[in-house]
Amino acid sequence: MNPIDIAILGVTLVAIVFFGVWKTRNDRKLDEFLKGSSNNWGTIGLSVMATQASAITFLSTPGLAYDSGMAFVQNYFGMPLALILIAAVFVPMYYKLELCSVYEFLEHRFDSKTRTLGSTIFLIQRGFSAGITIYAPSIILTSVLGWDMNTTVIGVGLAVIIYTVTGGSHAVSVTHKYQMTVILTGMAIAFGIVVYKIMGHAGFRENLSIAGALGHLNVVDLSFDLNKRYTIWSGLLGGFFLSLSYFGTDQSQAQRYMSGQSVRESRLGLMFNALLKVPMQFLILLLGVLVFVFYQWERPPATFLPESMTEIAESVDANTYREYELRFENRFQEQRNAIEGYVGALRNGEPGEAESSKMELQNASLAVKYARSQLKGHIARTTGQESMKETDYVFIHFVLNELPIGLIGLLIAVILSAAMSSTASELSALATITTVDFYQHHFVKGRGERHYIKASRIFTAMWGGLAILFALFASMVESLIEAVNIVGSLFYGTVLGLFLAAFFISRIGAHAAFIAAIIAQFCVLLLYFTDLAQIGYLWYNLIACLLVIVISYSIQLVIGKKEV
Amino acid sequence: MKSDPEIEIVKSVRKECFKGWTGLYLIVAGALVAQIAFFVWLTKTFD
Repeated sequence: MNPIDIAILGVTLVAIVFFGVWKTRNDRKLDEFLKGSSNNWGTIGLSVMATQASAITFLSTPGLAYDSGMAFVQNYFGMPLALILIAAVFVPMYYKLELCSVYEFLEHRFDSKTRTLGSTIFLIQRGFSAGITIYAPSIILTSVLGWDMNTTVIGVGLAVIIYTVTGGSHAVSVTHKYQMTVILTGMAIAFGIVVYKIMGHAGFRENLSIAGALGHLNVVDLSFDLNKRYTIWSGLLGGFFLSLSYFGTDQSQAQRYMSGQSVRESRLGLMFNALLKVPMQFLILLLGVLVFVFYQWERPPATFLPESMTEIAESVDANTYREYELRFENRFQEQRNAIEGYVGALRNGEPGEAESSKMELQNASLAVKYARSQLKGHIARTTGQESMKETDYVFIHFVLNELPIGLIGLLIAVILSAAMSSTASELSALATITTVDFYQHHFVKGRGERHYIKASRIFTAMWGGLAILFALFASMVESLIEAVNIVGSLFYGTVLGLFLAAFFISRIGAHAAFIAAIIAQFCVLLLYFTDLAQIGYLWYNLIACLLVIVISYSIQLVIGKKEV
Repeated sequence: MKSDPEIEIVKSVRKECFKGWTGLYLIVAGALVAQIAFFVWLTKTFD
């Protein structure tokens, strides 16, 4: 990296950490430390957004659009509806009961053991993912920038620990505002640059037509096909339940919107996200599509994976490599001619000519894909890295090779800011739950505020240390990110079921809810670990949630109203 | 069952959850419908 980029990156990150520590230096109240209860709706809105947007959002999402288009945005369609329900029902309830931990609500409504069950599930899944939030961007950045993996992981982890330990949840909200400013500015500049570059070849609408002709503007799929991963229906239904679990019952998100001055501020912060999240994801995906169009005009590399892999493949078997490379080069040139033919036909305005040029372009594109897959396959086989996902490296490749000096540093700061912002929320939430639901609730009761602030600081540092350790050893476990997602889906639905039963079905009592949660959890684990049914793990959220509600209601009917 | 006051709090919140906010929630839901309509138009126009 150029020294100017390093300076911009360093100054941006150090300034954010310093500001977080400085701004919260006078906080002495437990409520302020654990909840940060003085934020306005703007801070809450950005904090909720920053918590959800991890570094992987900015690294992988454009790559996903580059590879397969815009359909992924449908996953977010259910989110605004879930946020409306949370703002209407969950938020006033949490405020009325003056909760620090959302799982306290389960004790208010049911009993202590149900609260402990919810808290334990949260600690297991968030404890896992805090490590991944640091590990996932580190492995990508270190492989393309040549940084040392351990230094990167420890550096990012320690920076987060510093301001989270000193300023608690309030510092997390304060830094989120500036991290989101850096993130949005950086992404807007990257968007502007890619638009400027492709406009040098053709008009914006013509470039969109190229993306559309090559199947990359497939935003909405109205079909009812259950086998398709992204359709409008799976997005509305699955996205609704997933968002309801994540925003309504996950402390790392609930803590963000419970940090408001009032119910009004929290609701407005959530509505800010309900309005802007879908357009934001759309623009990140569109950025990926425009990068795709850019690489239709300019020859892309043989693979977006680290250059060292191409060098190894070239040195091991130079003749085969050259043969595949030449074939790819020729096919690409043919596709380039087809693109120019298609743009010319669009400008002539003859529908028939445009349609035949479009078909020519599509055939040329298939030939390029095949030639490039042969070249990529050769590189992957030679280097033994066949499982590495190229899509994670597309955007960072574009940034490093196409952005001017200075902006590269800013974009790396975007990625690290995103990693820090989501990690900080997770550490703060883990420490809050450990302090409130375990330390204060079960072990050391009735001590002063200073004692619990000190305990919370120790727990924050402890969870931060564990996250760093987990990130350092993460590479020893195969498909770790997927493993964390599976663990999340196995447990999320049970907790959501408990919350929905608590909110909406007054008849259900504590014992019925607890037994139903245990049975539902057992059923989901049975489904996962046996071959009883072949279903995607995302469906476990819905299944567990429905099982908790149906079983608890049935048990309550059997044991009658007088029994608890 | 849990003590009545706890259930009553839940019931009272449920009763008043949309009071004064229905307009904003409708705007948000309307914005989602408009966004989806725009995405459908984009898909049909360029796909």
